[in-house]
Amino acid sequence: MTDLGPLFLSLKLAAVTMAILLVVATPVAWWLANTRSALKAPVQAIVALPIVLPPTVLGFYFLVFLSPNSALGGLWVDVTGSSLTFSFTGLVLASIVYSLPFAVQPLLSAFEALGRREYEAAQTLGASRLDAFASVVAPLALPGFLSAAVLSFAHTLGEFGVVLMVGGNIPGETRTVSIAIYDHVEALDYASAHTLSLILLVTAFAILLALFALNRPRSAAA
Amino acid sequence: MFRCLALPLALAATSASAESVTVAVASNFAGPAREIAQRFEADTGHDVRIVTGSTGKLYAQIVAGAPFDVFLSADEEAPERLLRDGAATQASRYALGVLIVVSADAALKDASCVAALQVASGDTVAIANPTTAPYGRAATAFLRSYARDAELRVVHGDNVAQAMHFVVSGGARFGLVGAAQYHAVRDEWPGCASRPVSRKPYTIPQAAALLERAGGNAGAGAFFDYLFTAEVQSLIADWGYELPGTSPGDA
Repeated sequence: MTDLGPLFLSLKLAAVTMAILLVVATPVAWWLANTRSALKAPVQAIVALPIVLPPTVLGFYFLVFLSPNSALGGLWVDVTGSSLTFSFTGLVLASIVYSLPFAVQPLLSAFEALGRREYEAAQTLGASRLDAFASVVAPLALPGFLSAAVLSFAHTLGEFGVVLMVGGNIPGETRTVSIAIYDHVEALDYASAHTLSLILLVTAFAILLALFALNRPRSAAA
Repeated sequence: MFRCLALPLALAATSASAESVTVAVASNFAGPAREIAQRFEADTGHDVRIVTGSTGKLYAQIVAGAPFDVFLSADEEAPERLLRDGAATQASRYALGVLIVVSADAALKDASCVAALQVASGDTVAIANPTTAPYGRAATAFLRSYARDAELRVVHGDNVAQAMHFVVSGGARFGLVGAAQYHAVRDEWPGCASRPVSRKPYTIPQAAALLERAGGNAGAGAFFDYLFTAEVQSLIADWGYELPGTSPGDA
């Protein structure tokens, strides 16, 4: 029987990463949509880097910067007593960076399409900046939030190279579904590889189908 | 269970007295290791998690702080180095690995695999990556002396299990793999397989290390000792390994 543990681990990783990314990416995208700063282009380039860089490069840097011998990794060991490399927490950190552009881009597009008019109108009517954002901008940009959530979730689910580099393939901790498939193929257990691959294929299709169906232009639905 | 203080992560999964042991296994030994782990779990109640990969990669992960308790290497250098650097507390040879030439080509069913390899022209042969896998180094040495005149395209699997996968999937006509890789599929093997190459320098002495970070994990020590029991040694021989005989490198 195929062990479904890695599948649930991947789903958990994707859910945690998505939740954190929505919190992190929203202010970044809002700032990018509204700033006239000279820093806009460099920041956009940095955010988009994970799309272009091979996962091995990201994975290698993570291995170096998260390892107990590094400043950050060493500090983490001092504070928590456990290592960031080869741990679930380490995978979450890596996934946040890896999937960042997939959360920021849809939000940025949504904020840019919306413009600042409603936001400023709400402020003129006495709303605080946070209130104006939460009660006016956020509902109007909902499709953007939905895309950001779905894409960052799906992209994390399909992560392979980065996990291979920093995960260490530990059952229940860092053996995600893509790593488990790789393992099954090596062990010549093609039946299990087929089962997990098929589940991933169907899941990915269902997620994208839902995304495109929900994001259909209103006019086409009418 | 005061030592559990050092293992907060292990708490969630384990019951009162059983401990969780994470064993890093060189890919060639994955099959026997899973079988040994099952028996060990049944005999002792401890819980074993197996992580596989090439020896070089696992060694690098151990040095980088990977949470492994026992390391079954495909060489003796890595465990000895860990011992010397204080990352391991014991190291000992548990098996002598042997190479085997295989081909999944049904046309070679009744042929000699070595002879077919020697006259091959333009064929692909899969071996483990010699940079990270001892089986890859042994395979390279074997090809250099036995298939000098063959025209071969050598492809590298990440480890010996992936080299075997290249052969099974038909991507490579020949493969130089561990005897255990063939043992797992020999009943339905469509092509040829050579006899194990049990001559030096093509044999691969394999040592196990009890890692320092296992600390007071009684399960880890028990698993390490379990490898050298007569019962397990005969299981290892059944998988096509030669037995270690003398066991150098004891701490």
